[in-house]
Amino acid sequence: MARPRISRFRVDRLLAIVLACSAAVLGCESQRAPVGAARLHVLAAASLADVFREIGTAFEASHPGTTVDFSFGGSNQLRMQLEQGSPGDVYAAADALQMDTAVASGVVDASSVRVFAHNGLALIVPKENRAGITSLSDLARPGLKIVVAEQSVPVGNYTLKLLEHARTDPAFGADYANGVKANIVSYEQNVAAVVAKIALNEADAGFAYLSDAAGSNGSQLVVISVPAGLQQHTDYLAAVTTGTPREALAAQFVEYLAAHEAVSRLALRGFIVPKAPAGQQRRGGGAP
Amino acid sequence: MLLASPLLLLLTVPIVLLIARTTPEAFVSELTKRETQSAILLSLLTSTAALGATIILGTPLAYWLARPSNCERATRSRAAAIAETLVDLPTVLPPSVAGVALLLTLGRNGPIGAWLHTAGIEIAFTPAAVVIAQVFVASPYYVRSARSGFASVGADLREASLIDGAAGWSLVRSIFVPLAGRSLGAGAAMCWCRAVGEFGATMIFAGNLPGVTQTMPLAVYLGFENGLDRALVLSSVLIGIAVVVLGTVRVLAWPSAASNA
Repeated sequence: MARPRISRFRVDRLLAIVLACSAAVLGCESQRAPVGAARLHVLAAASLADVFREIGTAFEASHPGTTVDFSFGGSNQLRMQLEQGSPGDVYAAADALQMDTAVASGVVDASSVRVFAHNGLALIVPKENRAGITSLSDLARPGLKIVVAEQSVPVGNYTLKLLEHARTDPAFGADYANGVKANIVSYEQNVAAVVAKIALNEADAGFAYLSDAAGSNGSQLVVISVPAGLQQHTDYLAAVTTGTPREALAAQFVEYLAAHEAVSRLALRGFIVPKAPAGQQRRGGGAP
Repeated sequence: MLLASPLLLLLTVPIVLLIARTTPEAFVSELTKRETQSAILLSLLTSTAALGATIILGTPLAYWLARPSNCERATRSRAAAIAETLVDLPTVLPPSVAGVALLLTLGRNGPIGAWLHTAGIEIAFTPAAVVIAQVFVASPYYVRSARSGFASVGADLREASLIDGAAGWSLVRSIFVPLAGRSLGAGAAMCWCRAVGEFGATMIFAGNLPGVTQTMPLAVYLGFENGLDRALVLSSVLIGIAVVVLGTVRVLAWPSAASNA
């Protein structure tokens, strides 16, 4: 019985040493980064990828010594990563639901939440458009291949709401949503995956954002506008994460999203920018 | 023992904790849900189909790779050397690479996919795509094991059976399959298990539609975001499958390893 006890004791000691060493290394890391030479880690919704890379470059230029790193993904996925303790200084979500959940679970600072842009849904089809889709009403035609985002992703949730609204719209009829759903061949994990499959012409149509037409895959897509009655007005919200060691810089980045340099880039990339200065804007918009 | 434990702990603690977090109530309530059931059923069906296709297509390849002339370095053909590397390739590639490659080949715009499309056959976003993705990532495990099993049969035995008049298929059936049986079985088990666990290539090439292409690993990934219970329950099921299969492989491999030594 003595041997196992000894070896267990030594394992404990080894683990303690390993932990102490990694703590020391992590400690050095944060000490080594003085103000003005920091790395800012931004977790942002997949639909923001193109424009945030540009904004990040501009932010770096106006904040010498600062590097901005991004993780793009589904807003829900990024929020869950924050909740599981993943590092990040700024969180930018594609809908209020994800931001509210992040506030409720205490991973972002509620007082820092800002709405900085809006978007709308767009029906996207491949440039070739072999299925000959010209309007939303074509989507219920049997035999089409439609890809949408998964319901837990903001764009997937907006898509579902659009289809539900169509049920009560006489222009589409009660069976429309069922017909469209029967044509859905995949529920993708984020909007970028939807856009990629349409851009590759592997599916006939999909629901993405208005801004995707001006994104990096835009030349491979044709965007068909959604009737005003069904349009979902979407909000982008940014916030500083709680417990970030770079709180001041993170807050500067969130403020920067309302600065002229950022707003003009958002507008160029097809986002709807708030009329009021976004710095003052708290919550608003939302689905009609 | 001291140096051996950290990695062993890293490999086992997360799995034990994951199973520990799954409550029996969650197990019962999740396993009665249709979406959970269809993910399990789909995984079992597609990976069994993938194994079937692998055995049919992989056995001749393994047999060819194991030919005595291909096993000796001096007489080995360049084709066999290249083929062996190609067979190993999927095991070191990230599955996402496999997914993109399959989509670009068999998607309706790919060279083969376009041809199938005009013939009215669609592969992407169907269970067939799931099976193909699984064959792509899992078949090497069978081929490798079958090849070493066939190679271990030995040239003298082959010659003896040829003299006795056995040839072609009957040679394979009466000599090789029984003698290499353990390797074939172990390879098949590993192949099936790897097919059940396939995720990345499926997500990209086959998409995600409950009941059609949403296998257990995809449901775990999405369940992780929508509610942890389904992810935990399906993870426990997957771990259970893996443990049973690895145990079977051990039992199959142990005596033959002893006799080879």
